[in-house]
Amino acid sequence: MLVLLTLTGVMLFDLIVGTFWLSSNPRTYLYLLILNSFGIVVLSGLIAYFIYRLIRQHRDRVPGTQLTIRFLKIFAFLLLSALGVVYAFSFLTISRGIDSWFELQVSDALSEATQLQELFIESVEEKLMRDLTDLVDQVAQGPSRQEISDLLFSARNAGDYEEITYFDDLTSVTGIVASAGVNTDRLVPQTTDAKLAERALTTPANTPVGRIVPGEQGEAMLQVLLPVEINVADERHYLQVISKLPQSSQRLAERIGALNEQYETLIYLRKPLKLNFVLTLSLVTLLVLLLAVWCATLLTQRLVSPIHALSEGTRQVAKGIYEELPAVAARDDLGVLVESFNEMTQRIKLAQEQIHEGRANAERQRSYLEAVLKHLSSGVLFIDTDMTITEINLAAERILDITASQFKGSSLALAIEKKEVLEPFFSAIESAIEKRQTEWSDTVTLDLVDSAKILACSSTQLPLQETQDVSFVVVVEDITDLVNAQRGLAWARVAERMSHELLTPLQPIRLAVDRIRLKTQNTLSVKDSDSLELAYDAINRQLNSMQRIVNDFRDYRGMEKLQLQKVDLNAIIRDVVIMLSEVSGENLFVVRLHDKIDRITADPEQIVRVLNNLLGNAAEAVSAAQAPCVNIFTSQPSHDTVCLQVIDNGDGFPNEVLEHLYEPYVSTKKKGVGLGLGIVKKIIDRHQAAMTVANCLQGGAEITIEFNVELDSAAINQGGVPPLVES
Amino acid sequence: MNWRFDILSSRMRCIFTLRSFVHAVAASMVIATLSDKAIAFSIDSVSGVQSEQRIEVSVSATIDLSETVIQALRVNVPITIATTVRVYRIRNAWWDELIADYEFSDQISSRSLYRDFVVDSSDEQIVGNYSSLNDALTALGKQRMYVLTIEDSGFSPQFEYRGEVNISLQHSTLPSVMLIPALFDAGWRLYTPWNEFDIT
Repeated sequence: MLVLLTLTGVMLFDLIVGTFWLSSNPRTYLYLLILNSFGIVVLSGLIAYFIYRLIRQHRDRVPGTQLTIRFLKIFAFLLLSALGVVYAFSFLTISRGIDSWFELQVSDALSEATQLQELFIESVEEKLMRDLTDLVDQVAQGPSRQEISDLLFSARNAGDYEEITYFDDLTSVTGIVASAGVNTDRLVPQTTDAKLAERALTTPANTPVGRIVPGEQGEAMLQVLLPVEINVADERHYLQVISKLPQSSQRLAERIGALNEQYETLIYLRKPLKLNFVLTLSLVTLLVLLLAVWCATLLTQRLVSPIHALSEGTRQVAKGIYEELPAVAARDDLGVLVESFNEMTQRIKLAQEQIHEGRANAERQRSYLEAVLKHLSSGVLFIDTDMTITEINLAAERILDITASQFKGSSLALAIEKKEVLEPFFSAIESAIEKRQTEWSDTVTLDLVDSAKILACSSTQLPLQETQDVSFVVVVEDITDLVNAQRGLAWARVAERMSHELLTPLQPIRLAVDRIRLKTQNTLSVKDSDSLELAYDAINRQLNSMQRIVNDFRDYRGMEKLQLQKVDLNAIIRDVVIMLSEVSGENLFVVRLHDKIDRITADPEQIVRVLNNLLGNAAEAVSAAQAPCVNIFTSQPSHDTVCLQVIDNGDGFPNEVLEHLYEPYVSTKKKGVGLGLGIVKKIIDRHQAAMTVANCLQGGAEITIEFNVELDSAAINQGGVPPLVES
Repeated sequence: MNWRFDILSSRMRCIFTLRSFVHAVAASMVIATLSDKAIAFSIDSVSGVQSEQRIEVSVSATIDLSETVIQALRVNVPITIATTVRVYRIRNAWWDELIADYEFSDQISSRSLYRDFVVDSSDEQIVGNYSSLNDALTALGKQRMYVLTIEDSGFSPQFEYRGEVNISLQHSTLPSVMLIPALFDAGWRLYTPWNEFDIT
C-alpha cells in the first residue's frame, strides 16, 4: 500500500511538474500521462473490487459493513465536494488565465507596429518614387537597352541602391530589360515575387508597391516596384528597386517580425495549451480523487476493523470459543474496548478451562468409581435420603437378579412392589435408614421359588454434599454358598465325629454279643435260647443299622481318595438304570442320552453312587404318581462340560427343605437319615462339578449336574475336608 | 527515438522493450480514438540500387498538407517531414532481419516578415526560401536520392534483400503543447503506408 501511495505521489508530482516543463521533455510528459492513466485504471480497479466486496459483505450481513458504507459515503461526499470546488476553480483559473494572457493590448500593439512598418515601407516607396521620378520619366521615353542600362547604373550609384532592374514583363524572367546591382557575381537579377507582381499589376498608375525581402546575408531589404507608364505603347513597365533599410529600421523590422511570429504562434497554441492544462488538471483531480477514495476505503477498514473484530469475537464467545482478538495499535476508545474485550474473554476462557478441568476430574473420578463398582464382586447400591435408589452396580444386579435400569430412580417401596421376593432386603435397608443408622450390617435371607439366598448387607451413611445426592451406600454380598459350605463343613466334622464315636464302641459290642451268645448257647433252655436268639438278631440288626449309619457318615465325610479316570457317563447311566429297573421290577426311566458327548474324568464308583442315589430318590418320589416317569438326559453344552439332567414327575421338594437339602437328616422320605443328597453333593463338589436342584413349574423335581471333561486328579485329592481337630 | 508506431508496420515485429510497450499503449489509445485516417502523403515512385556497401534509394513523392497543418505552418509552427528507409535481409522461416534503418528529416517553416517559406534539409538542393507553400512542398516531393550505408557484414550474395520506405509528419518536433492534440487530431496524422521496393 505504501509503495502504491508513493508511486502515485511521484506520478502526480511528475505530471504536475511535467506540465509546467512541457518544453523540456514532451515525451516524458506523454509517458507520465500514460502512466497516470494506468494508475487511474489500477486505482479504479482496486476501488471497484473493494466496493464489490463491500456489497457482498453487506448482502452477507457482515458486521461493520453498514458502518463502512456510511463512512465511505461521508468520505466520498466530502472528497467530491472539495475536489469539485478545487477542480472548478482551477478550470476557470486556467481557462481565464490563459485567455487573459492574450487579452492584453499586445495584439493591437503588434498590429499597429505592423501598420507602422507598412507605413514606413510606403513612405520609403514614395521617397523612392520621388527620388527616381527622373529615372522613371527617362525610361518612359523608350531609350535603347544600353541607355536604360546606363541610366540604371547611374541611378543605383546615385542612390546607393542594392539593385535596380527594369522589367517590361513581371510574369517571366525574360521580361528583364536591364539591371544594375552591387553584386556583380550574380548573373540574373532578383526576380519579382509573384504576389508582389500581382499587386503591382493591379495598382493604379504611379503607385509603387513594395515589401521586405531577405537579403543574401539574411538582412532585411526593401523590394519596391515602381510603375513606368509607356505612353507610346500604352504599356506599363516596372522598375524594381532593392535597397537596404536603415540599420535601425532593419533591426526594428526584424524585431517586429519576430515578435509578430511569436505572438501568432502563441495565439495558435493557446487552445492546445488550455487542453493540456485541463487534461493534466483532470487527470490529477481524478487521480487524487481515486487515491483519496482508496485511502478512505483503507482508513474506513482500519476504523471499522476493531468493531468487526469485536462483533466476530462476540459471535465466537456465543459459540463458546474464547480466542483473543488481534491487538489494535491505536490507543483510542476502540483500542481500549478491544483490550477490555480480550481481558474479559481471557477471564471467561480461564474460568471455562477451570470448569472443564473440574468436570474432567469429576468425570475421571466418576469413571474410576464406576470401574471399581463394575468390577467389584460385592453388590453396591446408592440410596439417597428420600430412599430412592440412585445407582446399582453389576454385581448387585447379579446378586439381586434385577436390572439397574428398572430399579434406578425407584423408591425402596416401589422396588418392593416391583420384586416382592426382595422385600426382606429392601425392608431392612428402609428400616436402617429410618433409624438414621450411620453404619448398619445384617444378614437377609431371600426365599426364592426354588432356593433360598442368604445376603450379607451393610450400609454406610455418606456425608451430604451439594454435588452428590447419594446419602447411603449399601453393600450386599451373596453368602449362600459360603453359609452352605460352612454348614457342609460343620456337618462333615459332625459326621466324622459321629462315625468315629459310633464305630469305636460298635465292634466291642458286636464281639461282646457274639461271646455272650457262644457262652450261653448250650447253657440255656430251648425256650430261653430261642428268646435269646431273637434278642441276638435284634441286636445284630441294630448293630448293622448303626454300621450303615456309620458307613453313611463316613461317605458323607468323604475321606476316600478319588480314583479318577476317563469314564463314559452314558454307559454308567445305562448300567445303573438296568440294575435299578431289575431291582424295582418296573421300568420308570426314560433315558435320552446324547451319543456324542466326551468321556469325563471321574471316579466311576463315585459316579455310580451318585446315580444310585439320584435315580433311587427319583424312583421313590414318583412312586405315588399316576404315570411315574423319570427322565434322564445327557448333553454337552460346551467343549469342556458335560451335562446330566434327572427330571421326575413327582411332588418335588418342599420349599422349606430346599435351603437345607444337602444337610444330614433333611429328607422327605419316611426312612433313612437323609444323607443321600448330602453325599451326592459331596461327590459332585469333589469332582468340581456344579449341581443345581429345583422344582419344575409343572411339578416334579429337576436336578442338573455339569461335569468337567478334564480334571486335575492331584489337585482334587489334595483338597477335601480339613482333618478333624479335637476340641 | 522513432516516434511512429510499429503497429502500423506492414510486417509485425516482436518487441518486448518497455519503450515499445509504452509506444504500443499510446498507439492503442490513439487508434481507439481515431475515427478516420488522414493520408496526405503519397509515394509516387521508389527504387533501390545496391552499390557495394551502399544502397541508393530514389524516392519521388507528393507532399500535401492538411488545412490543420497549413494553419499551424502559417503561424510559424515548424513542420518536420521524415522519410524512413529500411532494408531487410529476407529469411524464409522467420521474420526478415532489419539491417538498415535510416531516417531523413526535412523541415518547413514560414516567416511572417518576409511572407515566405523556408525549407531546411540535409539535401542542399532543396534548402532555401520559397515564396509560396506549393513551391516548398513541390521541392520536398521531387525525386530525391537517399544513400544508405550498410554496416558490419553488409550484403551477402546468398541472401535476398528488400526495402521499404514511408514518409510521415513528425510529431516529436512540434511544440510540446501540441503533442497531445496532434495525437488525437486526424489532421495531424499525415503519413504514407510502407512502400516496399526491390533492391537491384
